[in-house]
Amino acid sequence: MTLLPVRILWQILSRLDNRSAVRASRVCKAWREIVQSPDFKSRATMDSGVWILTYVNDALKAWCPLSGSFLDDPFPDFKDHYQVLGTNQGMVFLRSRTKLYVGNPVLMQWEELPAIDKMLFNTDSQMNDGILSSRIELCSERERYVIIVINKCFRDNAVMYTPDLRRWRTCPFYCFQTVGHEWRISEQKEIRSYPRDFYYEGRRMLEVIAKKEFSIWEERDASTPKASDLSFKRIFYPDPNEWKLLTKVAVAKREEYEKHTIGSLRHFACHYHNSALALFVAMPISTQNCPPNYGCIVNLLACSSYLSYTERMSLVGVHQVVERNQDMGNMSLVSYLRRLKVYIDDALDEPPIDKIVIAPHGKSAWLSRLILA
Amino acid sequence: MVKVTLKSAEGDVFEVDEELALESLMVKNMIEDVGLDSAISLPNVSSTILAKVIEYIKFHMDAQKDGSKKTSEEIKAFDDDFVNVGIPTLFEMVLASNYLNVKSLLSLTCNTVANMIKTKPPAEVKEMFTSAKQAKA
Repeated sequence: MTLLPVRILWQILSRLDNRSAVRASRVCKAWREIVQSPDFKSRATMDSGVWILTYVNDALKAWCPLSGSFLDDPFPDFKDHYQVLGTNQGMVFLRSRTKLYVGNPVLMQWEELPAIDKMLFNTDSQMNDGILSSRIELCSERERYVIIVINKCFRDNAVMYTPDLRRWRTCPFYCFQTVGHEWRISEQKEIRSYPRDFYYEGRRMLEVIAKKEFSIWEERDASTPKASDLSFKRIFYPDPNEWKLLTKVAVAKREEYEKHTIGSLRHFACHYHNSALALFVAMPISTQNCPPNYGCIVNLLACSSYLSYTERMSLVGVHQVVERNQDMGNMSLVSYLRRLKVYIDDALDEPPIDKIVIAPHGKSAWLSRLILA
Repeated sequence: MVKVTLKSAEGDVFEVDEELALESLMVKNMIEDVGLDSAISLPNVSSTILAKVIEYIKFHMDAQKDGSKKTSEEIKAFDDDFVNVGIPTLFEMVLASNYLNVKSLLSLTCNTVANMIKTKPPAEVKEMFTSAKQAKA
């Protein structure tokens, strides 16, 4: 492929939109080197950096708010029905009716994962139905990830998948309970309390969902953030000396909370993370802030999960929830995208999305308002 | 009107107006260096491609002249037709416009290649480049 000199290839490739460039990087090594070089990424013609996964007429789609277009066939088999189980910086963990996939819809690269062994999962129901909650963690090195799935029955263990072993195995799973002002590991593996840790703006954060509250902690000395060291394995004990409580949000209405179970609450947490990411991407639209694999996917997971975890609550139902919350500062997807528009200063048509999502916009503003009902 | 003599890789001689020749920054530099007395040798450009490049520059110079009746549609049609060639020829034009440093033509040809890449899956792109390479060999 030495037909054209690198300088000219660079010129040609830089005329492509990001998605085409990423696709072209699969042609050969020389092209990949060009596309992945920092200079190339910072080229001026940056577009379509943000993709939103959403449901349109019950079909999962990836939609770009900048161009207003959908990705063509981004999923492994476009006829199948998909549910998004987790996302992280462009990687998506999906399940179809019968299969599990991990991959990137922008690059259209998918890997089929083995089914989760029923023995591991300890559930009588169908494998896929047993999934209550899952997340995908990216390790610091590229193309390494861990997927963790929590059993719906919440018995014993969660399972995790790593690409090096190419199989599912059990992983320890801890439940937490508040005792006074401290968090203790619960004796019972109680469904309504568990932690989730992540990095936000270089600081290690810990979200804990307990019986009646959702709280976010920040590590006190996070000046040297460690690489994600399969951190879910660690037992988090938010000792007030080590962890600073940032916010605590009560779940106001007991019955509402019961109705949604931990699933939806957990995804509120996710939601927080994702919306932070969304703003992060949207304000300075430049490739330098994009994850290495371009198409940074801002997944409006809360919408899909909300639907699925509450027995596919109807559209109207979700819509009403939003409307009820509107006064409390939550925004619909439409207004959320309009807000994006302010930052990116680009023509934005009405999003072709018929489901409305609670999409809070900004850390401080929404933290104090995250109250159900 | 001062004429400039350009000599292709095969040794064919093209006599063109100086104004036209100056559109190539490479030729412009050569003229500044060695003057107009001798023919300017372009060993990297074949006669076919050189003729094409001259045709391109001539058309666009005429189109830009005062009193030109060419519409932007006509210019676009010319450009589209101009790059509607086989991939080996297109690549040669990319290389020639890069070598001769004709910015507008380089932009046109690079865009054409980029559009081809955009619409094809990676395997086909690879195929396209490989066959172009074989054709050249």
